[in-house]
Amino acid sequence: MRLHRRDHWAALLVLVPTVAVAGLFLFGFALWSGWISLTSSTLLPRYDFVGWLQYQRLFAMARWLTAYRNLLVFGVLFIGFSLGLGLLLAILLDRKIRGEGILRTIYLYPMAVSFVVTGTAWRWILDPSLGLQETARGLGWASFSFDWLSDPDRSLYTLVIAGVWQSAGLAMALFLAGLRGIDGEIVKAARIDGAPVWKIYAFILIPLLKPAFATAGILLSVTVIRSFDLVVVLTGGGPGFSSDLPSRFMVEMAFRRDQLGLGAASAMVILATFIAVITPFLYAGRQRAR
Amino acid sequence: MSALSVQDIGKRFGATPVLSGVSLDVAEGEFMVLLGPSGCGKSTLLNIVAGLEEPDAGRIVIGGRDVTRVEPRDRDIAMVFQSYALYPTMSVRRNMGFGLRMRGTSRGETEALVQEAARLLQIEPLLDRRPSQLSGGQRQRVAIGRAIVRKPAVFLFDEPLSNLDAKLRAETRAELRDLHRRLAATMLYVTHDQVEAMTLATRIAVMNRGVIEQVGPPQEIYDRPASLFVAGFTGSPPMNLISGEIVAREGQAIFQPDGGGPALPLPEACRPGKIILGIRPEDVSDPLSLPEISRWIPHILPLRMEATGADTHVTFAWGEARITGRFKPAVTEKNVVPVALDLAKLSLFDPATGLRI
Amino acid sequence: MTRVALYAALLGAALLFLIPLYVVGTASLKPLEEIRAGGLFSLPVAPTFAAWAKAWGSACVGANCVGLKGYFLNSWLMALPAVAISVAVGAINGYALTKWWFRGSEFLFGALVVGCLIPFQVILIPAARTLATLGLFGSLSGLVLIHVAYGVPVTTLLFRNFYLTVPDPILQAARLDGAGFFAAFFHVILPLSLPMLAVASILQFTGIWNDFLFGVVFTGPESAPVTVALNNLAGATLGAKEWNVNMAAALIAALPTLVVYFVSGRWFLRGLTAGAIKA
Repeated sequence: MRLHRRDHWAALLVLVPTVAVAGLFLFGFALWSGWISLTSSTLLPRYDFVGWLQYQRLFAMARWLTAYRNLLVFGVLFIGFSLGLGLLLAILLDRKIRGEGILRTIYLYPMAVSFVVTGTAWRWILDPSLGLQETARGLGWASFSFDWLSDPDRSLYTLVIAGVWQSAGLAMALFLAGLRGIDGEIVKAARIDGAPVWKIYAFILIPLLKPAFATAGILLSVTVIRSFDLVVVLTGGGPGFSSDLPSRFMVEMAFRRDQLGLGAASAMVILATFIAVITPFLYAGRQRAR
Repeated sequence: MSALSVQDIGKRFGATPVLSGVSLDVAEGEFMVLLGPSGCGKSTLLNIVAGLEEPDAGRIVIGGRDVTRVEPRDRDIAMVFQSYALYPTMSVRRNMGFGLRMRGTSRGETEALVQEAARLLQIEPLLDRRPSQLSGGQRQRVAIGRAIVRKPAVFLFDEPLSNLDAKLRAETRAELRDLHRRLAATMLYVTHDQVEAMTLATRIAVMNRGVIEQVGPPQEIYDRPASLFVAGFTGSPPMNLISGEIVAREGQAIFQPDGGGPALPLPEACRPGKIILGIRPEDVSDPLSLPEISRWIPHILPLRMEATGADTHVTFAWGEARITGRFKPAVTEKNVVPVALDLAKLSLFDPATGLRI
Repeated sequence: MTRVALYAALLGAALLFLIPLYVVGTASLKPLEEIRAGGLFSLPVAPTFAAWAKAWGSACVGANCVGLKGYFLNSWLMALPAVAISVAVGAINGYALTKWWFRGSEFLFGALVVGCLIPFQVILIPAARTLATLGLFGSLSGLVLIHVAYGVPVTTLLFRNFYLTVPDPILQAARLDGAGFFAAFFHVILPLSLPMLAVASILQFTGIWNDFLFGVVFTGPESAPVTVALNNLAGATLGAKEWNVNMAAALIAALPTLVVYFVSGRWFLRGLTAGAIKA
């Protein structure tokens, strides 16, 4: 690095603040959170050491266990339906459709909107006394019932509905880009071999979409783990805590109930869950790159 | 004093040596071509001369000044890249003037120099276009224009013709030769194309596996290749290489090809032992087209013929070796024999070292 | 026949995606009585912008009955500097990372990916402590700082991926022409990056404008962005719900990103997929 010394110093000078800030704000803060989770901090951080106490408290709380189970149920359903619907739309759109651009724009527009907006809208649409249920009954379907929002056993699914509505377009866009990236001669060869269209998709094209699945999986997992806005706005975690999610639990504990230690412990569990979920995807991605 | 002197340059990428002890002197006004297959280190050497890469050992001296540790911009060089590397967002005019402006040349003077270079290359009508609006050949000219506008001490070319089609390549080759003559500039030119090397160079340096195997004028490289590699890399088809043995018989050195076949009487005395004999295809031909005094007519039979239009290549079996000769297109299966070899044009190589004897 | 089914399915799906927008849009134009009367899909009988006016100027956001307008402005004051800084820093970082500084770039790349994906819950408490120490907690500047800190990994990664596709000889030519680190960036690289600047700006703007978590945690009643204000407005539990006002407020909060999206959908998509990141 003796050559171009001045320019390399300039490059270093540019990168150092970023590295420092990223190091502090990402890794430093994560470690800091980890540390707080091992203390008895309440309103303010208190740097004593109480071992795994906060984690024991956490997993003794029914509310946390519900929230954590909800995360898994919501995650599986949300990712599953988003991928499924996204893939279906992508395949349909890939059949040389007129007005593809407009349709694509329509499918993807919810991505441009905040979950807060989505949540506000869906809360009204799903409101039993005003929304869909009332409208259907007004149209003469007296027995129509759609009261998931006020049903503790079903309110979680309203999050899935609103979430899929918002994110399916992203999956669609990734799959469509993946389909367009596949060498068209493969399809030609398969057609000359006499394979019907559904077989071409099932056995040739969809397996080739693995990278798109990985990307969509990562992005949707991040959405799930970060899901905070939607649950706050749409269900408020309720009725009761039936549709609570860990991220909302964490903010509640840390910033509303002055339980910093407990909040930090829940954040660390969220991080651990995230790492467990994301590692296989990243590993698959790395392997592909080699 | 040479315009450019490469002294004992060594370079490795990780554990792989790319250049080992490469030295080369380029005289003022010389057109030096670095010729070699891909991966031989010629582009790395060019980048080191440009200052884009740093050597692990050795020195680069330009115009008597050691520039080994000098920034590329201060080396008084200009480079034409294989991909042209024109700045896509700038007009041709700004592309050509950029280097001058970066060096603090005034706007007016830059404009004048750009105009002058554009006139020389006949690209004046293109000055206000963007690179994306130019054809491949035009981009090539602009890239050359960007280099000559600065009037550097040394021009560096990195396979500048390889992205052009065959016809354009031949034309541009001729123009480059003109340009060199008109500018009387020192040029270092990297290519894997031996035709480019032969037609452009005042001297060629043939590189293989990170070393220079031979430096010399094109004809010398062609007629007297210094190694098996040079012999095999130059000429199309390349030089015939026949392994065999020299034996002394009745006071004369005789070449006996491996696997039998007619033995060839060598014109000069030679030490007996294993040897590789080289002969260019044009020196294997119809007896009538070779000088009577040095020709030798063995009894060998043709295996196959390949007509190229201008001439016809005929391959013969000589022992276990195959040798190709160049004949007039009129040749047919029937009259291809007898075939003659011009013994005055033989090259002999030591099979152990690969070097010319 | 299958073509008909195909188009029917696609149009049906489009309808599903559009209905909420339609429902929200019509509701925002209805007087409250019409909403109470039910009929999600009916067009407003007596369209009025009263709900919009109220959402904008006088609806209660928490205890302040001043409408969304101040918070709308807050969002702009937060988003514009945060987008500008994170995109600018990302561009020059990406350039330094791909074209000049190679040592440890693998490691840095990994750190950037982590930065793009990290669950934000894990940094909330320390970030709040840090902002408090800096005296920025509850202020818009603090929020801008946070958005920049967590936006820069995203933008750096976007620009890194983009600059990897810019051929090195262009930069080598610039160096031979005498351009140093900054001259080459401003004269050669930056003009090349205009599409990417647009992509990164759109992605960052959408992400930052739509943020809720940071806004909720790091701002006070005065400095909240519009998403937080919308939630406070729509989530008020006192009194009868004015759904038409809520819907108008939702549209006000969504309008800037929706406009950006419909004007530049292609680049929006590129942002989502290029870095494969969603803020």
